[in-house]
Amino acid sequence: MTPSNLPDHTDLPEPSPHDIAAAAAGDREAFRRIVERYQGMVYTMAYNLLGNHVDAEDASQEAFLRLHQKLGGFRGSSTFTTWFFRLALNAIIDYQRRFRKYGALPDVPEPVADPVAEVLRRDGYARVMRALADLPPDYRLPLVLRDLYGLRYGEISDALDRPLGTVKACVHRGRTSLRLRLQAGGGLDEEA
Amino acid sequence: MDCVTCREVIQRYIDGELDDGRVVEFQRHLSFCGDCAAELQGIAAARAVLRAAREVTVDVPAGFADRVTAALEAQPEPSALERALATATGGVLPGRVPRRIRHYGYYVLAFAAVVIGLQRKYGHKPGEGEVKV
Ligand SMILES: [Zn+2]
Repeated sequence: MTPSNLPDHTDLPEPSPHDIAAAAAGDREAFRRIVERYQGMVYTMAYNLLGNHVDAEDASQEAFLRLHQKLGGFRGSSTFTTWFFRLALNAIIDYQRRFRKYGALPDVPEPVADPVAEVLRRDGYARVMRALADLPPDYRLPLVLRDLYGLRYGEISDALDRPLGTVKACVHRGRTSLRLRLQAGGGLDEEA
Repeated sequence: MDCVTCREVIQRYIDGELDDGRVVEFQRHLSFCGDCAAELQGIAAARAVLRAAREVTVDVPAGFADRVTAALEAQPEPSALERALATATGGVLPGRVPRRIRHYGYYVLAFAAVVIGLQRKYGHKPGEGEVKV
């Protein structure tokens, strides 16, 4: 599960093997430097996947606590960022799975033709994130994993433990739903 | 290809999963059907927007690193039983269990206590059936 183009939200270098070993051995300052280095990546991932700040905070904390437990197992066969991205993703998905039952798939209204690009040019990312947060989790998770993080359908099916056909259907409906929300305003509150 | 079929395959086209023959049919349909062309454009745009969102970082709430550090400090060195429970509950160690699953944690503890009690009652030999750590 390694996205082709891993988002890296900082110009800071990866933690050194020495830092990683120190953090794994219980050096809290070394671990804190890793938290500060990766909090943007993890929090953004959690927010994109879970759609609200309360869950994003809880899930991000869990991701870092899990990192602390597993740090000693990092062997350097991939970059630290790649390794931790996968670990954090699994932690966030596990978090989501504990609290949210997958329900019946909601209906998607019939699409109306309208260019989304114009909406985006006007309102930007905040609007996209609100529309994304507004999607049912059944759609949002597979959609974000597929179109935002670039995972393959098979990888998403494994990560979410859902059948391949269901994952595809959810991504497809998620795209349509997102597009409709973007073009319609989707009941979004306009912020000043 | 008619509009109904076109709408059915539009997402597979976006995902690059249509075979070449179908792609030709699909594109031929779009060349004269403005509705389907607009549909494709809209969905492809939504996808492109998400791809672009990769570059965006959400602001991390103030004090986040402090709270992670505090949660870590609050964790006692886990006992053998706690490590086993952490494995059973997906790697969450006590000390910073998200509030909504604390009760769930109690159920797990209660269940573990019952299992241990039953093992004692039905006289396992010492060392048998214990949780390996
Ligand atoms: Zn058509």
